[in-house]
Amino acid sequence: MRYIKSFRLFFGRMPLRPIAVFGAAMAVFSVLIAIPDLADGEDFLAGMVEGMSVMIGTVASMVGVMLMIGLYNSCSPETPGYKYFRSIPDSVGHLRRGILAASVLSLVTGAVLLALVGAISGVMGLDMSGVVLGALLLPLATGACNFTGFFRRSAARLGVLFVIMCGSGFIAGFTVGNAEEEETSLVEIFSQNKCLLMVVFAVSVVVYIAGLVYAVCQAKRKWGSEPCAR
Amino acid sequence: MDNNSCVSIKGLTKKYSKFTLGALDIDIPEGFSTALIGANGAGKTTLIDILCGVTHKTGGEVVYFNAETDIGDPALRERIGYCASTAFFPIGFTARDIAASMEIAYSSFDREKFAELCEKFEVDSEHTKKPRPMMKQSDGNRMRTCLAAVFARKSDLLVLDEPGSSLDPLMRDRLCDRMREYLDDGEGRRSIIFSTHNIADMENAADYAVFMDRGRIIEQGFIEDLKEKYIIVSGDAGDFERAKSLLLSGSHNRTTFDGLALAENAETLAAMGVDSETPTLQQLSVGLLKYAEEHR
Repeated sequence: MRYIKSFRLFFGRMPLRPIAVFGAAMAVFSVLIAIPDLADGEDFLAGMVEGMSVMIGTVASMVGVMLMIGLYNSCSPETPGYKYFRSIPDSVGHLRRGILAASVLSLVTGAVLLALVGAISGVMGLDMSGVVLGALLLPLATGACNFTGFFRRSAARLGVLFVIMCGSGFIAGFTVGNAEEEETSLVEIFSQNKCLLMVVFAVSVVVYIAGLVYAVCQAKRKWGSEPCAR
Repeated sequence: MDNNSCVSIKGLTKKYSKFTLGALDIDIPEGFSTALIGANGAGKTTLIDILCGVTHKTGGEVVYFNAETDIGDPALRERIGYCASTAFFPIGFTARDIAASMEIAYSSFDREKFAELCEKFEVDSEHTKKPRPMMKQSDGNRMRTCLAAVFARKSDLLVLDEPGSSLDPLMRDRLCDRMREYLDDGEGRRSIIFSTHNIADMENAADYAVFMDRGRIIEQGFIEDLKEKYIIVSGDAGDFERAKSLLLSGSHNRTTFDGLALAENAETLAAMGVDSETPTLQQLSVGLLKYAEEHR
């Protein structure tokens, strides 16, 4: 409860509405992708539908990361609100708990949205590779967000996440669309090579945990009462 | 005058690459309202940020309420009501978000009082049907909301950074009244520190003044005492050359001159045919800051 309270401190309330809206959008797009003949004869629409099917899993996993970006933006000296959050009682404690709560919520919201997209994809008989890729990237993106959260320049923070999202799009483009082209899909690659799946998952989890530990320690160093802290 | 200090600052320094604050020695008297006065870049906001834990000092000591020295202590922060400029709360926050957040942050925050004060200050409260986020409000309304939030909780020391800068004259006058009420309700146990450029409008709110220039203190004291220590002089241009050496700062044109001088020189100046009078806080501020500028 303390952790949720500290998280709410930075947002005023639980940001449920944007998550619900995003979830609804993901569901709509998932259904649209599955409609046969939706883009029949229309190159632009066909391309858009194919792009969505590739990206939808990874995009769904990024929603939770957006909450983390919002939290770290509040803690940036250039951002309105910084002096308020910095001056409150137990600001260090609230920040550390907020980071922990945001990191867990990032996984939870990402997982819920991926499950929604996965369920719809399963019912519609679509390839689940985008969902699998999203699930593997979610802890990685959350960890990267924690590593970069205290960068001074918000452009640098967002730049790292931009690289991750572009990278995931790149990987998705090469692997997720394989099912439509009757080549080996990502799901099939991982089914055939469970070791590879475990390694990728383990790396992702390690980055997540390391990022979380780093961010919590940085919070104490930056906002604590050591004389040299900024 | 023998007074307790609510904040005692000894040898305080803060070093940035292009600016150094200090070393400062200030005793903020308890039960009074202290104005930090200085030009842009004097270090007023830096000092306030250090006092409220927003940034750390490089050296020196700050003692709060004659006992506390650790601004990281949550109990101490509960006793300090801090309000910075108009960008104090996140721009996406509405009055409802501010109330929810402040309620978590401060145990003494009174949500109903906050709503009441918002309505009194004529800004959106959390009971407003669709309260607007801070980014959609004017600077003046943002400041009013910030002030409503800080007055809606119990504190022993109010620290306000440029509270009057974006307020209209009527609201500044109301703010001065509210600050007086805050002190009166504290029965000598509450204090206020505020920085200001609007010296004329905020004069009614100040009992003690600290004048700063380029990170240093140039003068401090109770305003009534400072008004006895200094005089504003004026005279004909012809008397300027004789009076110049006794002026701390001044200006002249072809016909007249005026300036700031020490009251102890009043008789000497009078003998030269120069008139003198008690300065207002505005005149005192301008005179002292000009003196500091000329003697950097």
